[in-house]
Amino acid sequence: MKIFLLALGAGLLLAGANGAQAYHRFWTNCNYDSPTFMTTMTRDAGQSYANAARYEGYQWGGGCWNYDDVDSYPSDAPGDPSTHGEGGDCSGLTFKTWRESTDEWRDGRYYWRALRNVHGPYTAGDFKNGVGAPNHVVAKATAGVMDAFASSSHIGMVFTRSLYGGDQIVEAKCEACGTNIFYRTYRSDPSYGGVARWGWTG
Amino acid sequence: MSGGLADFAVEPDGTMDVLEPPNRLTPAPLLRSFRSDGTARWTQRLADRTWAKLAVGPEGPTVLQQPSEQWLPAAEQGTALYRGAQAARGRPGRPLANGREVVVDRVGSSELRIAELAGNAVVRSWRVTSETPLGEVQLAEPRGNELVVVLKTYTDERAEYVVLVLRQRGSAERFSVEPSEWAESAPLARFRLAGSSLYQLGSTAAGAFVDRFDLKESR
Repeated sequence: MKIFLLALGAGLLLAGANGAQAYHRFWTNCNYDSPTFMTTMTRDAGQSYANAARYEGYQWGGGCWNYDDVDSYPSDAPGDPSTHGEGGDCSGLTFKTWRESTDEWRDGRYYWRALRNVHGPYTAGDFKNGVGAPNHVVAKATAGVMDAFASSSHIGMVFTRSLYGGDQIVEAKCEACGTNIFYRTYRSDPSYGGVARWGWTG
Repeated sequence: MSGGLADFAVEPDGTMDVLEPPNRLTPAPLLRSFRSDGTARWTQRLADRTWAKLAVGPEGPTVLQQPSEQWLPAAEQGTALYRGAQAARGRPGRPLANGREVVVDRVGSSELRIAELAGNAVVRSWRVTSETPLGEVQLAEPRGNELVVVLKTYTDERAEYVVLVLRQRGSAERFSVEPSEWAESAPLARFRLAGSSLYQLGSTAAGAFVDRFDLKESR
């Protein structure tokens, strides 16, 4: 009986360990390579980069995804960075799309590959307030393609301005929503401000 | 259903349509049709990748979609249309029960143009200008010989809805409505017109509510 109980206990421990390891599985695919310093950064390329991140999921505090058009861990608990699932969060996606540096004082252009796990130093609220050398606030009425709208808790980039006065927004919205393009009315929402990246080259 | 920010419409026979956004498991938007007793009829994927608004057209549900920026019918005579058939029937205006359609056009952030079309001919049209930037058009629907328009104006700090009742020669009625948008909703689903009643879906930290505004009788 003792042997049975010991085996049962060991089995339960192993089962628990497997569950914990599952929370770290996707980030084992990610890397921490240096970004590539770039001299150019066009809005077209920004659209292309963000568009390619669609369907890749959402991870609070994350910034690592592949390009298989599937969220590899779609059922992670929301708001828990330790789940280490696939995808960026809203500010992580914006940081990587806008080719920013992890040093807030640098305003150069740094290309981060999809599997490079980086979130960047900015929260959505930081972006809203124009924190960091590469970022600044803009009047919402003038925000165009690859500018963004940010609140204290979320940021989404303008994919295109759209009919009926809304915008197609590319965003990592939430764990259940994933990363995609949605029609939003952030532009006229007082809780959102207009923000933009300095340094577009075209 | 997925539980995302969905749009909702009820057809005259009681059929209910629920338009869901894409989510982590289903990366394409889906329209679900339910009988009046709540039992499922069909589920159909939209032709385009993104939607802005669901409405009831002359043949059933119709959806404003992107990137086409067209109104695409999603069903005909109670039967879902497959994606190619939706795309083939797309129109720039929202189809009306009388066979006409309403086209909404934006010119910059300070001008709105609205027209009622019969086929490809403009029956009547309006031009709305504003010194304050114009946001989204929540509603543009005929009521008798009038057209009811609900649009949003905004600055960087504030916003309000403006309700316009348009007649052949300008605005017959106009008033402002405070946006109560503590909670998100489907983007263009905050106002509904039924007869002379205009309904607004709002929310505060205390909960959601619906306000009704009585419009003056149509002449």
